Amino acid sequence: MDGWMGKLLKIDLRNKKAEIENLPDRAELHFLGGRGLGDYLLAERLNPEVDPLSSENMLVFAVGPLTATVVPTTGRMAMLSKSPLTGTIFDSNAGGHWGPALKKAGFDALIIRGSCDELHRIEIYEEDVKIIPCPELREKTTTSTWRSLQEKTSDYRHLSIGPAGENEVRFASVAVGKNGTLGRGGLGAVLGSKNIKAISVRGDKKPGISDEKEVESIKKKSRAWLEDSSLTEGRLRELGTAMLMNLINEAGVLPTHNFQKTQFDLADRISGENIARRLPSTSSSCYNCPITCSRNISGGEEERASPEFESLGLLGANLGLSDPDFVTDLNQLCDELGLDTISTGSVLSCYIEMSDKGFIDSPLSFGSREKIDEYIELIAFREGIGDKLAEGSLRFAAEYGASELSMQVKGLDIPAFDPRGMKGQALGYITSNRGACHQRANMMTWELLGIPENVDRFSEEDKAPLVVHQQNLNAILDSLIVCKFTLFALAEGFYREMLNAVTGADLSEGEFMKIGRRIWNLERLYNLAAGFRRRDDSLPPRFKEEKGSGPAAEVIVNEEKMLDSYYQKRGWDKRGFPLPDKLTELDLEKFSGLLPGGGEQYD
Amino acid sequence: MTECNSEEAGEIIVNLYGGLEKYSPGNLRKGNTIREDKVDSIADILKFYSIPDEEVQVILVDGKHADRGSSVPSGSTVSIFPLVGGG
Repeated sequence: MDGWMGKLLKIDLRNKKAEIENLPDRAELHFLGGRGLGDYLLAERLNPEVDPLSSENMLVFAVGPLTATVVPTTGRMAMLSKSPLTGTIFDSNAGGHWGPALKKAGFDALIIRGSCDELHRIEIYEEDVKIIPCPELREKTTTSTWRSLQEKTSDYRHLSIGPAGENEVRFASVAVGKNGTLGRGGLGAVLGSKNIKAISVRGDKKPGISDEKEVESIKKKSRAWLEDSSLTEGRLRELGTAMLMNLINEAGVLPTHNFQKTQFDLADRISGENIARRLPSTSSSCYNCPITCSRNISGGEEERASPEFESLGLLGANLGLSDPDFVTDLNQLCDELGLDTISTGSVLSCYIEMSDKGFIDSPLSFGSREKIDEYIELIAFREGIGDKLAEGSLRFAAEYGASELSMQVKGLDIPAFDPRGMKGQALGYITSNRGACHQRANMMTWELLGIPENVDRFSEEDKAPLVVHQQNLNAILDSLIVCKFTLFALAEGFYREMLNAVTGADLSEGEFMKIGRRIWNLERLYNLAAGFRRRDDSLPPRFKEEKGSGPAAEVIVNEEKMLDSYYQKRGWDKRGFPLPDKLTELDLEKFSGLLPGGGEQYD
Repeated sequence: MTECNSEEAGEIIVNLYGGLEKYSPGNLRKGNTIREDKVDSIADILKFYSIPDEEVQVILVDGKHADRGSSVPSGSTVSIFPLVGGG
């Protein structure tokens, strides 16, 4: 079909051979691309019980049918693997220009298996694949690596890991180009375990477009709508995602001191408004994106990335830090070393609370900048206590008998929205297939912004249908693959029109939304086969026993009732198993072997 | 309706975020104050600061969601936001 390139590039590092395979027909409209296609390829080819940091683990980089077309915000790509942090199937996605370059090279996905004995990098120019030793890049920061690659091959697009990825820190990130990041889940450690420092790609091919005229019309309409929204037209460019800080704080859902409080007195100091006023900055955009939300702080010797809201939350408020310059420095340090800012902030706040409660001694304390940057470096290089912190907050806390002080779900650290004052978000965290993630369901739009309509954020009633819908829709957006910020300006039905116009498909609304359900259920099946059960769909005890602050001072999360209604809405049994008739409905019979015990009926 | 200083009794604190601070006479994001006896509802506050209706997306009174018709108890903090987003 039009839209897809119809080819997969497979690289086996054991024999350093590349091979091209046709994209299976059924993968196209059943799984689209990006996250969905990656899920399909992993479920088909990777043993769910594999050790994520072993040579047997598999990496997938995937783009979608809309990637590298004229449709706005289609510069994103997904990276998938079994996560060394969570043990679940895991996708992370990022903007920039690398995804469109992979598609122009002629591929819908790149699959990497095996590992090298020494540090290598990969260069892909369409069918020409080179696997090149690169000892000179060992322990180079991400910016230094990018510069070195630019000097060698400036017409390629690059992604790379920092020292943290090389040292297999379980929450190591991947830098995409100069400004993008595949942040979560430690996929940088998987690249590091394979001894791959960087992947550079280029090409001159173009995907087929079914209805050029209609696609041009969609491009114009979507650009006009994006420009008509005060948010996507201007505010994201001026203030970045950090504009959320004051809303999240006032609403009493800002993690503070390892989630012991949910309001931070000094939040305004690290708000988008204050940072934009104090620090001169420029903005930059991903491929074919008019929103231009990425902000860089100019001045000083080096340009620095302006922190996103999540980074300000976890490296700022959650550590009790309010100096915007210092938090910006910490964010930059994490980016350069190749560390997820959310998990880095979370493991440090967990460490401080453990120290406060006598589980371990630490020179760090909430509200003090003393030694924070030093400990981030220890983590990236796995030196001293950093070697243990590099295992992530759950493994670290568990080693000292304090696992309840790790703020995570399925090992993935909770981002900067406290679940007590957002019950839909709580359910989204609990049921997310990759652990605590705010983007799977993204209930902020409903519960805090009142979009598309107001709901009672403190209520646990009627949240399951909303969460299920949001999860399904976002699974589709992650697979097309477009930026979720477009949801602030575009109607949901518009994405189906885009897909139909580009590919020539004629999907009904029902068929379109079924793709999201199929992707979600396949991820669930994979996680069940990897050993996850209902007990893992759970928040740490803090959120069920201790109240929050301010407007969240009287609330805790009652998750079991929400979980029952969620499983029911999904059509799963009480264990959270999608049963065989559900697999038939979603054309997933091929994967029924992933059901534990063959999916026997449960009363 | 007049602005008063924060020491005076019967006041309402108004925070204007996300660019709405431009409607504050002092260009203040936090800590604007209005005398409570001059305010029947949130709508009066929006009118006082001349904030266009279409620029207001979220209104919180002491951190809890409110709408234009909501009354405002003395001593409370009203926070007004345009459409913000990200994550």
